[in-house]
Amino acid sequence: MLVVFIIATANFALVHLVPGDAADVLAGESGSATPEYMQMLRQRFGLDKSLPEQYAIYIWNTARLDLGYSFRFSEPVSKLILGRLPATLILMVPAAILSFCIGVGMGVFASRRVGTWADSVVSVAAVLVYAMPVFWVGLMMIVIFSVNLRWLPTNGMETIASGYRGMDYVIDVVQHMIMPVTAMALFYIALYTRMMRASMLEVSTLDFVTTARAKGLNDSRVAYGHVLPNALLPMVTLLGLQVSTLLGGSILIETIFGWPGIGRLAYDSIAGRDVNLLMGILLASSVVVIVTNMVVDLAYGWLDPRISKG
Amino acid sequence: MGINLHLRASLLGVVMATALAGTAFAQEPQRGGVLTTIHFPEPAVLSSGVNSGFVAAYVSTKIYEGLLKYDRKGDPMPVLATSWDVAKDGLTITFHLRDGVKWHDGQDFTADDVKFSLEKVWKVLHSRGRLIFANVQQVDTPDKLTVVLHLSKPSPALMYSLNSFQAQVMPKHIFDDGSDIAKNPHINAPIGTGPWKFNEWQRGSHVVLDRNESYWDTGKPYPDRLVVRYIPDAAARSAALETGEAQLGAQSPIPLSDVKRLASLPDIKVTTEGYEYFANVSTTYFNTARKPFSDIRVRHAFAYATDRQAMLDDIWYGYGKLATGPIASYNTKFYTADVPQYPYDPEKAKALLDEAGYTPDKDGIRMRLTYDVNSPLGAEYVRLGELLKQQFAKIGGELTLRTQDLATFLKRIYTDYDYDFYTAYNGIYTYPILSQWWGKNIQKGVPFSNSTGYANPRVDELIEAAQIESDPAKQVEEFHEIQKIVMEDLPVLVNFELDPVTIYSTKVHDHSVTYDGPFGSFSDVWIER
Repeated sequence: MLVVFIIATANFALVHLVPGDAADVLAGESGSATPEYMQMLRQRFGLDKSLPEQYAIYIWNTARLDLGYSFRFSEPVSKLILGRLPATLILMVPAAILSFCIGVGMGVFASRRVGTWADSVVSVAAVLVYAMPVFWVGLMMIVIFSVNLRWLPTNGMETIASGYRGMDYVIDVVQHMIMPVTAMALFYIALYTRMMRASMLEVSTLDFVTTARAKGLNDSRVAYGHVLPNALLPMVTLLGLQVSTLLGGSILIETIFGWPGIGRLAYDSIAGRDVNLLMGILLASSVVVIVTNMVVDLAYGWLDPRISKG
Repeated sequence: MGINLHLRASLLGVVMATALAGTAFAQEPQRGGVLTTIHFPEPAVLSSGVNSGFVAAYVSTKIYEGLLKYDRKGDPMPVLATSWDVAKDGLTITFHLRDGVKWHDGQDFTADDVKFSLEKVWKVLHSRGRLIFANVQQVDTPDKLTVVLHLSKPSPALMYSLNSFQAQVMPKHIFDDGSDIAKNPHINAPIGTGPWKFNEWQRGSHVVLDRNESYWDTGKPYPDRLVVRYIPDAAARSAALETGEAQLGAQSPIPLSDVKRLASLPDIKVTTEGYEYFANVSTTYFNTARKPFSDIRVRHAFAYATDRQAMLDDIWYGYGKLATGPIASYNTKFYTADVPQYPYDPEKAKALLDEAGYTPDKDGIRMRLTYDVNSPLGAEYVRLGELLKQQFAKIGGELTLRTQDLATFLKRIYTDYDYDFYTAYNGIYTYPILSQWWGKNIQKGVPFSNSTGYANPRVDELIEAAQIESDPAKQVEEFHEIQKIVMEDLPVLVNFELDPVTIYSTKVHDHSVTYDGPFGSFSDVWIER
């Protein structure tokens, strides 16, 4: 609770440190203005009140779980965020699952063949992918698969006004998902692969592994039964970090693929000085981070009984 | 290259014009299809009444209508008003409204809607409307289809500001419930009288508009649906046009460096027509309130030191033409070329700086200045800053480029006045208001007020006179004199007239048939099948 309060206060302070306000932006977009017009806008937006007053209103609303109203978009903040939530989740969740599974798999694969050419290929590929900027990967995918091969739609989440129903609609959305999810997942796949490989190698030098071998277990039993569960711990930490950023979306991927997620909503709210909306998004994101941390702690206990007992 | 492109643009213009002229006998409009267009960025709201920017206008001009529209020469044509009558003294204007027009929810459109829109929206919530309709004292509605405006002074700009871009007629029965109009949910789900009905807006992705089956102009519009997609990445927008996922992109939707490539594709056309109404002029603003630009010789020197042709060719790829004065040549009524000119001449610039006392120091530098890059307007403006840095280095000016986001930029320019110079574009419209040169419009904290600190009593007098002048000949005289004085005083540098481009599929026809082009209603657009 205290953490949320501190975060809310920090958000408020940060947002108000930036020069210019929503009225400036709105008038700026309109291309002309008068003093009365500016005054009317500030009054409508509640920007004519003093800072302490605005702060008090904000904290009081937050305490009541009321995220406020976005004057820029003429909609309640909660409605704006919830409207973007499905798109964000269907991009981020598959990307997280995909990158975790493939990354862990590749890591295990490489670690069991340390020093062979297969290990080198995986490791070099992981470093390469890790080093490639995500926006570049996205653009290259569009050029290859949309513009040249014409296999996949360039961007968006669905074929607009297509009238697809049921299965057709699902297939349509999946087609639109392929490139952004892949681009999103690639970076994390590389990260998981490198981490998992290192973790497997590290655990396999521990005493209990030697004991397991001494018992006469074969290589596979040792690797999958003993090393893998213990090597997964750092992966869970990493997954926790990735999940924490879920709600924030990914501004780069969303921008390149025209994906209507929360990342761009946050960006727009900063550019438009939409204080209420930005603070709403920041607050919602921080709550997700807090909850994820709790879940990760619990998962630790489940994976490694020593932690909960200790 | 620049010339080539120009040629291409004008050739395309000819092709367009013949296509337009030819529709009557050669190509009958075809019904059906979905027209997918792109525009950027995404608007904050879907009503120009409360946000008078371009992006809200692009969608809302399809849903709402104005009393009038303007043909390709800028002359008024009937829309919701079928006829109108301006009294000799310019103080009474009567509109006769179209009979049988219905709102998208089935209610009748009446004179009360016009009265409501003018009194509660245009005059109050609309940034330009507040000036344009300021002199309207009373609105009478003697019957359901007649509106009479009573003005305290003649307002010549008014009759040029009644299209749906400037003054959208909004339904009284939806918005006039005593609550805040801007908070009404229908601001983002508009109910209009236009050819297109609002269907859905998925924020961050697209807007879908459906054909209005009971549109008053029977038979129109032709396609079944109109989709506006918002694609934030410029390269992805190019890709969408190239693959045909989108068939039209308005207002230079992609970087100009990419336009040439797309224009060379067989199924894509590019036109610069349909932006005459806005008559945008690229303009560099000097801060005349502080050194060194308080000295008129320094302003003149910078005018001579600016190679505007290079600016136009190298950064804007030739999409525009050199401006001679603050009113663009598109504005045939008030344009004049008979004003002081400043051809590129660095030697003259140096002489002027010598005369003003800015002599080179031991490093050869005469002055150090900061140029505020108007990066919110696009990548072109960043490159413009780099070009100006090079150009002014030749006369001994050292520029530091400063980049910031829109809100920071606006505050610096219009509230803090903490700048040396910057570049923006200035929309002149049909009846110029020219408030950026009006001394009484130096208003701290008001974006797009007079930021240069320039005030000339004679110019003020003329600007004020022109706004209430009912004699067309005198209007012309006044505007010509203003242009002459401003070009002598040079509070700003006029660079060139911008030609935004519309990129469209060869299958899309008749999209820009009015003065405001893609910001018209799209009631005539059709897709070849």
